[in-house]
Amino acid sequence: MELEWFVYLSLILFSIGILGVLTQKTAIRILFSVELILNSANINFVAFNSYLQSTTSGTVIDQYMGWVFAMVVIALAAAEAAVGLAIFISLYRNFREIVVANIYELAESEEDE
Amino acid sequence: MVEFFDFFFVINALFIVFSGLGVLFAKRVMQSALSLIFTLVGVANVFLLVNSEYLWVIQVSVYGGGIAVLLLFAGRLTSNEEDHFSFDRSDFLISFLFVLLILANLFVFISKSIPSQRGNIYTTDNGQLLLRQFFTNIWQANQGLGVILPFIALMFLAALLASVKLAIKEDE
Repeated sequence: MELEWFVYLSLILFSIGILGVLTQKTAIRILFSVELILNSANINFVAFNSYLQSTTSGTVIDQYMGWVFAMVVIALAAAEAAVGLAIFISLYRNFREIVVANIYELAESEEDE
Repeated sequence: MVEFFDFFFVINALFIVFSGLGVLFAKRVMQSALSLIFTLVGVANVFLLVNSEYLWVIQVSVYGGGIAVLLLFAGRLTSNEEDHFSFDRSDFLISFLFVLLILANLFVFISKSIPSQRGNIYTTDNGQLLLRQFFTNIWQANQGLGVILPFIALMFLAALLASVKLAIKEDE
């Protein structure tokens, strides 16, 4: 199987993610789209790792560097999802919605005080 | 000449692209989250096709399990749309196509992960070899991971503290 196929698949997934980031209204769907973008990056990491493994002979760490970076991306996505959930809950408590166009101030709303 | 796994790469790619579009164009947030889980599992199948079984396990358990549940909670806790669940004919067609793609995907990773040999699969040399290769891969990848593990740990600590600080409700 050729490397280009994986790169094209990653490109399509990345485009879908960018389309989502630019067009979606609620914050949670924008977060979903960001996850799509991260996954497209992961496909590239793993595909290139497999390709380089079959063509070159480096040290062990060189041969598995793509996997390691993919795991870093997965960990990053986990942390991002946790912080995102906290931000959404905080926003929802103040605004009763998470439509990003309607949220233009980050301070606490004044009725609460 | 189109090989067996090339064919399934195309099916898996279709699965990823359609479920990725489903994330954007689904009507409700929950359907969108379900499409996202399908996309993540499809990406995990890509990892399996390039012989990264370890990442496949990580992707399905961490991404398809943990992060997906977090996102489902985020969707449920922040959406004020009412769910009157209705299921019309176009929904049925889309669901049917999706189930076909899911079945094709399941067929891929069954045919990929179980060594195709007749007889008892637990005792064949091929099975043992596959398992040994799997654990060797995990060990070698962990050697690389050990270099950056402290940074990941620090990042998780920062994320944990930040999310606790953000989500906790202060008493007046």
